[in-house]
Amino acid sequence: MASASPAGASGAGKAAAARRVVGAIDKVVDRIGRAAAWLTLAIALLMAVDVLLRYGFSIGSVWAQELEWHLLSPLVLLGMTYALQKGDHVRVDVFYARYSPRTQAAVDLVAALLAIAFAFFVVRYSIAYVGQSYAINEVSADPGGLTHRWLLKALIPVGFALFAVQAFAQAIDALLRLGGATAPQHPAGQA
Amino acid sequence: MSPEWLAIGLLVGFFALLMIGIPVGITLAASGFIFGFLGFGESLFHLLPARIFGVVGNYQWLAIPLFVFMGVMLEKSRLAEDLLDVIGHLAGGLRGGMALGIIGVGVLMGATTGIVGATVITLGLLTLPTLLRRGYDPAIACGAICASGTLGQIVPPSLVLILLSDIMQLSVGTLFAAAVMPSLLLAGLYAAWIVLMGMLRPDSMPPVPLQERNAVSRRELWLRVLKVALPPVALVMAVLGSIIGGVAAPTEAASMGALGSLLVVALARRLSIGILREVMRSTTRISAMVLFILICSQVFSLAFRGLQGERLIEDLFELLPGGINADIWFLMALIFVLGFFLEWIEISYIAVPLFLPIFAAANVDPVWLAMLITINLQSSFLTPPFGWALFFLRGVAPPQITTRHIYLGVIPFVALQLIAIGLVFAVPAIATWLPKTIGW
Amino acid sequence: APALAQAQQSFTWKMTSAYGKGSPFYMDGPGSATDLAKRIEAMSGGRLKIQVFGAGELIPALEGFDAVRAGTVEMNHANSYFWTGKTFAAQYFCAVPFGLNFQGINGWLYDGGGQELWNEVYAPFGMVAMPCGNTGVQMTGWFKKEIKSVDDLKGLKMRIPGLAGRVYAALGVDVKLLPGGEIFPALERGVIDAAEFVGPFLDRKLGLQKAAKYYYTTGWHESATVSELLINKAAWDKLPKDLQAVVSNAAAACNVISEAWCQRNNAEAMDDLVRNQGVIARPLPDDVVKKLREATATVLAEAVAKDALTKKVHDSYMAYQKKYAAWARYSEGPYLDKILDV
Ligand code: NA
Ligand code: NA
Repeated sequence: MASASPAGASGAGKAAAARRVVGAIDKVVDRIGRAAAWLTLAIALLMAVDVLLRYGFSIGSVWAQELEWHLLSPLVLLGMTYALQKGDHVRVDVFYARYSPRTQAAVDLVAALLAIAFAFFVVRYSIAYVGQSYAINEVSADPGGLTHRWLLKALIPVGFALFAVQAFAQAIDALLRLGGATAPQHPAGQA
Repeated sequence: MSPEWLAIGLLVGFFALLMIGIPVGITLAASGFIFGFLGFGESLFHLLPARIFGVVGNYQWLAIPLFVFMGVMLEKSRLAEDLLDVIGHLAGGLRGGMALGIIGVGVLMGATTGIVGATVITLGLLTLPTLLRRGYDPAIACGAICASGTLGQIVPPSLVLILLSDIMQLSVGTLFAAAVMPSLLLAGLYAAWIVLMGMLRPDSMPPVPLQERNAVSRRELWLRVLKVALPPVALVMAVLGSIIGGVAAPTEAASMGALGSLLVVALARRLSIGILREVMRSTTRISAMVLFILICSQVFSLAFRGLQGERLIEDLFELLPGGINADIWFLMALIFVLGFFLEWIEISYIAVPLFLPIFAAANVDPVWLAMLITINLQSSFLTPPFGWALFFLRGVAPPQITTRHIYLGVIPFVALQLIAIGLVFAVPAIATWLPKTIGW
Repeated sequence: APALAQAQQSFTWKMTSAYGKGSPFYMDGPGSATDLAKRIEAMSGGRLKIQVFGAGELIPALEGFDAVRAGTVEMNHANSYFWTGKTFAAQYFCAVPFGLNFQGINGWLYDGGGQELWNEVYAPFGMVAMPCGNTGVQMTGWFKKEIKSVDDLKGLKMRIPGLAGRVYAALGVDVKLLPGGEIFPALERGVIDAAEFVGPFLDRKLGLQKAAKYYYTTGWHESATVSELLINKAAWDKLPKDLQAVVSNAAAACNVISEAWCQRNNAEAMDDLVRNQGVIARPLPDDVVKKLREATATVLAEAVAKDALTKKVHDSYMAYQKKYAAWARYSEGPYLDKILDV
């Protein structure tokens, strides 16, 4: 109905612009996710080499052992946004699967808005937490461990900011689906 | 509103959002924030970053990406596909042969890690597609995978046992030894159930068709066993062997599995940069999905604490009639119900310490008690609607699998868990005999 | 009168701990964190209530420093050497290798300027601290093989956290980090050759005697490990003087009482380990101790060179130790050698 009026024409223009924003965000998140994926191989090789060197030659280092779990942080905190984009976050779909596309879009919109709010609060609380670490130039308490712990902690607000951006893209996508008849851009069903 | 009413609101709100179809993690975080803000404002939430850092910086969670890497690598390289087929051929006309194979693999995998997410996901990736292709009832397949996958938390080594040894002040070694017989009991119960189902509902788990079996000669079959079944089994053995042989600590052993899967696939000449990329990306998505739920549950747990949810439990406890057996069954019921809302670490921290002084005063054998708690916690992973194992399987299952399949599938296994609890309750020696005999 | 209103004001504080709920010594029993909370409540007539949270209940084990600093919780119960990544000088208020024993560290803290330095170190963080418990002398640890000379340390895989790890590493030990729960399986299977934990009572709980037979005695690295009560300064300043006195006196009481508990339980556990469980308990060879002492001096000198505040604390500690050692040669030394035995 709306598309018949001139306001609707500009609405369609807005929708196209919104789709471009969603597309751009998707692209960036996809790149980040693909890059973060290399961390899985890095963790596996680092740990395996550490184990074999220690067993075979009694060679070990505290920093290498610490690096193993230091790599888990970016994997999770960047990967969770990648997973969000791909629709991997699981839900109970006993009822969801039977909803009409519009109702699904409405639930997706609520989910995206809640995700943005969640990410906002995590960022809000974690800035002081990172600041404390930065101010004292915190290092590992273990001898020979890694320095710059604030960088590791800073991944929490960074990761959640990225998460909010992706959730924003999904909110727009859900809105577009709610308003129009476009096919869902995200495979929400499998989510 | 009083904190206790808000705590109840927290649980109700969680259920409501979950049932509407909001993703699990977001549900946990949103209900936690909403009712937390109503109850105590922002104060406690300032601790959230510390708790999130505690999750993403936890050395022991490294086992998740490592095991997922191994599982995805075997799946993507199609090495796993034939594994179950071979098991099916070996089982001959026995109905449920592949499902029995899964229970066996579950026990073996369970002995390599104590992280539930890791085993359920690996088993799901490796076995679910083949079971479906072979005409298994989806619910039965999902139930067998979830139950066998959660065995990992009772088969030693196990994070649950390690945490309980901490809370209950028992030696880790004692608990590891105590868990051996109950683990085998559970695996035995699962197997018996599968065999029984095979007789009652033969169509739900068909054997490999006779023609197909006849088409493969004995010699050929054993060659195939060597060729396709050996690598994955050898991999699990490598992980297990590196723990037993003193090469790697339990978490580190997972890296042997990941590296091993790379080597096995390379030796089979199926490794390409394309496959490697796919494996890394899937591993990232699955691991992040699992740990994201854990991150979100930190919000929920903080809210539960801040609203003095534990006081709700204490109040309930006051209502209880006397008698130590009543206390034990109350604890069991409590853990079972809390399993709907909270993850096991939080349950262990909230429910177990509440009762320890009472049980200590009554001279209840703490090792026996720990085993009852462990089996019960495992049941809580399986309990719909909020069992961690169910979500993890959901995350890796093919699209034709619905949540309903998974829920229906686990119900009989939850019942088997309850039977196991009853047996260990009635016959404490199942838990206490081995540690006493080997002096651990 | 306003003064009266002030005196009757009551407080509810949160105290987190680096140790799990139920841990003996740290969280449970005489002089533990929960005992401290009980004493404070009783002595204050209920005007200061402390809610105690074990590790993981509110925050993970080692997040107490940041939580108290931010003021989200008022108190934390832990050991100050967990904070050396934040401020290295914290090491001295807990345990220094080849440092003071229980009598000595109490002398330095209560009477030798240690307490004032402790507060000075934490002043930039807006916190104060005081001793509130002590394990007494710990043990060197569990070794699967006998240590006959320094050469046996080369390539030895050992679970040993903290400053002592750096000292061992200087002698060629391969330092392995492991979470508490993986110590036993790793030692039992031989992933590591040696492990340090606390002392006979707590080590026996972990079952370490089933994984290694050689128990090297007297912890050169932790001769009296202080438990720390860490308090947010702003919250502390809001307490009336009488409640401040309640807290510091309860902490001092727990400092003594917890150590007394350790003496009895360690004596009983050590007797059981040696008599019934085939444990071989003995001191490290002299030349190993000598090398460890030299390496400790080097490691501490490096740390002191990096930070002026650490130097100030180090100098105070060492000056006190020198005086205490000279006197102990007349007092405790001969007492242990000649008088104590029955
Ligand atoms: Na296990
Ligand atoms: Na120690």
